[in-house]
Amino acid sequence: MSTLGGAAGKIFAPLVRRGSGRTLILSGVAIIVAVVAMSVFAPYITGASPTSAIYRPNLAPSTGHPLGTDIGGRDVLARVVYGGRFLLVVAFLAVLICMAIGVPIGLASAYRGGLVDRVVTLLMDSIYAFPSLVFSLLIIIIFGPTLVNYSLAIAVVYIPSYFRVVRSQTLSVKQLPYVDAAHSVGAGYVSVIRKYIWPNIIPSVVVVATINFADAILITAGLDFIGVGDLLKPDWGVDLYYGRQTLLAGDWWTIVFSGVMILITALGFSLISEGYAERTNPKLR
Amino acid sequence: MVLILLSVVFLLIRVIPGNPCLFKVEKYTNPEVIATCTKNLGLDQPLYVQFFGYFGGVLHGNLGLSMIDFEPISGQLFSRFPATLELTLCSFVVSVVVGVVLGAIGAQRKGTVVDGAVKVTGILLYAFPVFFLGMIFQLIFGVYLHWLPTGGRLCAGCAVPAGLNLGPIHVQTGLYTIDSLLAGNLSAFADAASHLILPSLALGLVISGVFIRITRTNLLETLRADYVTAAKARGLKGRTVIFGYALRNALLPVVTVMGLQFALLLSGAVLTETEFNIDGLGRYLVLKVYQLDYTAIQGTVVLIAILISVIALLVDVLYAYIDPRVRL
Amino acid sequence: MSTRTSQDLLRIEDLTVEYRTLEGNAKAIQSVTLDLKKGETLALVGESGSGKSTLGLAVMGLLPPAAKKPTGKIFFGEMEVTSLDEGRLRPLRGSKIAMIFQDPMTSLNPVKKIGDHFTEYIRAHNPRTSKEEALKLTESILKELGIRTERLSDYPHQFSGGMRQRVMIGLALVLNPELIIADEPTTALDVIVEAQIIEQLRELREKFSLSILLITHNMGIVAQMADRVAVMYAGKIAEVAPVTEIFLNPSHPYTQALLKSIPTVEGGRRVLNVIPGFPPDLRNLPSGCAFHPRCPFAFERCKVEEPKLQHVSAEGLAACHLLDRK
Repeated sequence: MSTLGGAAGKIFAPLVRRGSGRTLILSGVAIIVAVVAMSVFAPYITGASPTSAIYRPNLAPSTGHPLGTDIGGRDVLARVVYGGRFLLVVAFLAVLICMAIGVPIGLASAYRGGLVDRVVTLLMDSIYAFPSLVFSLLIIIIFGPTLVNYSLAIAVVYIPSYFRVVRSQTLSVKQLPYVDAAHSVGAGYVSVIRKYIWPNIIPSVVVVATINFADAILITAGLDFIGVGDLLKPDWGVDLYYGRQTLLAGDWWTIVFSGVMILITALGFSLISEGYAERTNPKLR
Repeated sequence: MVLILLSVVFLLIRVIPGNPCLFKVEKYTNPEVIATCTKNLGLDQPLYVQFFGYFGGVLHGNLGLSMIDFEPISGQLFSRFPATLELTLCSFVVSVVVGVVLGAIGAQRKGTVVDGAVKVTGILLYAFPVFFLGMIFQLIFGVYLHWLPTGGRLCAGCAVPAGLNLGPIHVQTGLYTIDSLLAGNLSAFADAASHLILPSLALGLVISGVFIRITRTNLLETLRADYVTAAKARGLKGRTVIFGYALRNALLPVVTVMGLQFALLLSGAVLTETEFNIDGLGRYLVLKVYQLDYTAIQGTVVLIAILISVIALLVDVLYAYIDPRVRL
Repeated sequence: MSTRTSQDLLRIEDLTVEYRTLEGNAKAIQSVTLDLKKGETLALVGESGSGKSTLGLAVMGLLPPAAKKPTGKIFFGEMEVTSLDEGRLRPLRGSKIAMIFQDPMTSLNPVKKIGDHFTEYIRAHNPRTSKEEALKLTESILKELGIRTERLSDYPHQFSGGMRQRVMIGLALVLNPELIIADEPTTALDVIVEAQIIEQLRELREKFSLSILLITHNMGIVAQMADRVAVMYAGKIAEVAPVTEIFLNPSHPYTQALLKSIPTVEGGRRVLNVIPGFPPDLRNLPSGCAFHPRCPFAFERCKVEEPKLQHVSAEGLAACHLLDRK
């Protein structure tokens, strides 16, 4: 499938070839790889379990517990190492769903034009303008705080981002004379899209997808911090929810490590996004 | 913009399925309680009657009754609105100032280490979980240094600033900083302000990330514009050219973005108010989520939708005012 | 080579300007020596990339950041402009040397009223001018240009292209500069408006005794306005001569080709005489004479040795090896 090959090329080329934004992209990728590795190999990093509340609570970092223990008597190191899994899975799923729905709708709507396009755009703009956290919160409350629902909630909020970007790119390409020329020699919609529009939207979609990832992490962590979800799962946001309670007593270890992890993960994706954005926007040179 | 409101509200109400009373009171299978609840909230009417009734109510400022205490929601929201307003206004100012200044510095020193630092700072700030930043501030400035208070809007046991009281004129905005100034009470002002610093810094810095980036990008473009070279060719001073020509034009598109930033501010406010224990709309929403008070949640979301639309409208008007090309 | 005389308003000596690019340094101007006398109009002609616009910017000290510090000297009157720092250079801009830019649409600040463009400018150079005085001055110059004073409170986008260029000319003239650098002043305008603007410039030149450095690729306006013409190619001067000599008896093959390539209305349909090939890559110039790949008369020496400017007449100079053959 040449389109997939082309897509892969566009996505991975910046990693190898010199050019602006490369440092950003590579640092971002490095961070993400490290975080994912940590989450995957968690059992090898620490023997403790993040949910077993068997230790003395609120211990400062020491040799026995390198990162201390939290208010529930759990080992903080274990919680930090395992705490990214939920967030990463939710974010990954959300981005997947979002792209799968947002990109085709953007393409179709831009191509169809007319009233349908106007209505859909209006709908998308409304969702886009609304505070994402609040919207996601609303959906989670109604449908329940399962992992899939988290992903769906975030996906719904972010579909407009993909929609806008794909739609504007499609519209600008659609107007170009060579598209008309292609149609006049009998090319169908699908091949026109594949040949002309697809290569142009890939870079923008990558930029949106990576920011989407970062925001998904932040929103999910935020929702957990509010206390919406299952408070028993190992999760950095939940750590901050609990850690908050002893913060003012000076127990910094309960929040700092988990908080930094959220920051680093979101940062990693943001760096990648910024790197690609710089690459595709010649004006930034 | 009003259409945005309509669309969003429409979506919201459609989305809450079934009888909210059943959700909340599922532990109580006593049909009588359910019946009372249902009757009180008007849920025994057909759906379309409910929708139009609610919509009509909103137009009159009536957002229904809370499911917990059956008090009018609008009243509860109204009393908490000033706190959120104070926080968002302050944070907004911080974000714009920090964003524009840093973005401008970065653009002028493009390619240098300073510019690189500015870019990274912008990305870093945006990626920061606002509640975490708030916690760090609380730790450093509150717990370790004891410089600033860590929560609430006033010191424990302090009186709420009275506002202006001049004969028949009573002005009490609910924004404690302004009210204390109006009352001429400087110690109250200092108190209110000190409580406002940390939360608005936390929220403001995180939002400034976006402004840094746009200001820098736009300024890079305008600095290369022909009218800037032409202005320099007329011998105008560097500062005049940067502020009157480059920056002025660069910031125009930033205004349009401000409307969207408001949504971010609100999301952030929810988290910040929870973190700093500020009794505003955000914390109210979170509380109602715990209590599963669906009507109140619905009401709050409707209010937020209204606010967003109003701000969007204001931004459009503001932009038309400052860009002469649009005005005429 | 002529030496500096007291009549020289502008003298450029051995100027070299290079631009830094991702693929190497581009030599925009190489060892150019040129002079402009008081009251004369010197046309600087060449294709895109010949270096003519860069020369204009260099005189003003407004080279973009990508340009390396130029070598050589530029004299304005008695002053060595190239040795001045920004602080001393800035007051000269606009008041002594003024520039008219190519695209009037993008050269005016979109958010500033036309009147404010003027008053800000006037008061920047003379801070003690009152608002009323500045306004009066603005109005008088606009009158010269045929712009009604009610339009002072309008914004640039409300003007037509021709009017905008008139505004630019007004801005250039309002402080009575000694030298005007006009960089492609009519390229962005349609032919009819172009004729009006040129006519206007000629009147003003007469009235205010202006010295003009006219940068253009349009031989038509060169014929209408110039006293002398300097032809540039690939950053070097190919030929300099009085205008009649350039048109009637061009010495350099490039000048000849340039003149032949102007399409005329008369003579029925013909194939356009284009100069074959493309302008050279300034980062990778041909050896010897930069024009040799495109020159119909090129011979062995041209590929190896750069020709130097030499006299072909009392006032004309050209840089071509063909001259040695005669």
